[in-house]
Amino acid sequence: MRKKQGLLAQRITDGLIIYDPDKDEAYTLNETGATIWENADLGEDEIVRLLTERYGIEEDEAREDTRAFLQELREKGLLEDE
Amino acid sequence: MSRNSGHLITLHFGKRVLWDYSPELSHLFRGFITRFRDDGPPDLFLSVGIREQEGFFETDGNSCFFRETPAELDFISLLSYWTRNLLARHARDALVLHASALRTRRGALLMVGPGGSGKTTLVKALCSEGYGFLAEDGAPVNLCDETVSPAMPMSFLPDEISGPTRLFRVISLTYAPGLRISLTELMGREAALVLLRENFNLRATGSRGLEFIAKLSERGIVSLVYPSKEEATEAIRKIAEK
Repeated sequence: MRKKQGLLAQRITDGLIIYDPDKDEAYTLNETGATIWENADLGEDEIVRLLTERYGIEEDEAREDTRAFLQELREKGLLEDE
Repeated sequence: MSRNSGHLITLHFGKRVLWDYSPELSHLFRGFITRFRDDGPPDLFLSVGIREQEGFFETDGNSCFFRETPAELDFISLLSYWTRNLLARHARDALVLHASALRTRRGALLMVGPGGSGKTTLVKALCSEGYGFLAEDGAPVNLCDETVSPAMPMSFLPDEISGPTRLFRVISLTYAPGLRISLTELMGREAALVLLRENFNLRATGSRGLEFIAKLSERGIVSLVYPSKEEATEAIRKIAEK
């Protein structure tokens, strides 16, 4: 999967803002969401590794959260299949 | 039967906007034709017409339709409002916030909020106490130097309109009768959500606009929940003078 072309993203202290100019819609992500988004191109396994490392989350929990969040990003059209 | 007739006359509005409008409305445009005629190539096309539908007035951002031929005053007032909103949506050098703005001793104070949150009521009340008027419903904040430019008021005529003023503070308004007044600092994502919702032209300003929203969010905005005009004006006065 890859990030949709043309999206704008801006870091803020407690997360990330993503803006989709095509839809004129904006989203705010918390720190975990931002990590998943920023590393979406690397694939699920790498994201899970990063989450367990950075936030001390159990691997099963990290995998479940990652899958659910990536699916949500796909449904919003922010991620596309390659 | 649709009364959305063909377009009779086109009108250049400034250098970039081209209006098309239906014959029923032609008499209402006479003033605009003589005052705003411009032969430059337009890059926005707007339509104004009459169409049978539920509401008296409808707009989708590039067109507006009346249900019946409106009275002249209603028409001018709605068209001014709509034109201002539409032009705001296409502004590229300033982020236009859905806000009223005052000039205070410390700089421009913006009051953002949705319709009904009290932007107009409070700016009128505070202007009558001596604060300078900057904007009533759409406040353009210049992306280069963070000055707030004065903008045309929509529902009242202030005694005086202040000149460009550097941004000092943003207040998010919530009118809540029955609740106690509260002032809270919103930072980061909480502030960003308000600014992302209450602007006209993030699309036109693109990455510069988004960067500016992030910067304001990091600095923080004040959330004011208030039950009455009197309590709100007192709280805003304190913020302005503190």
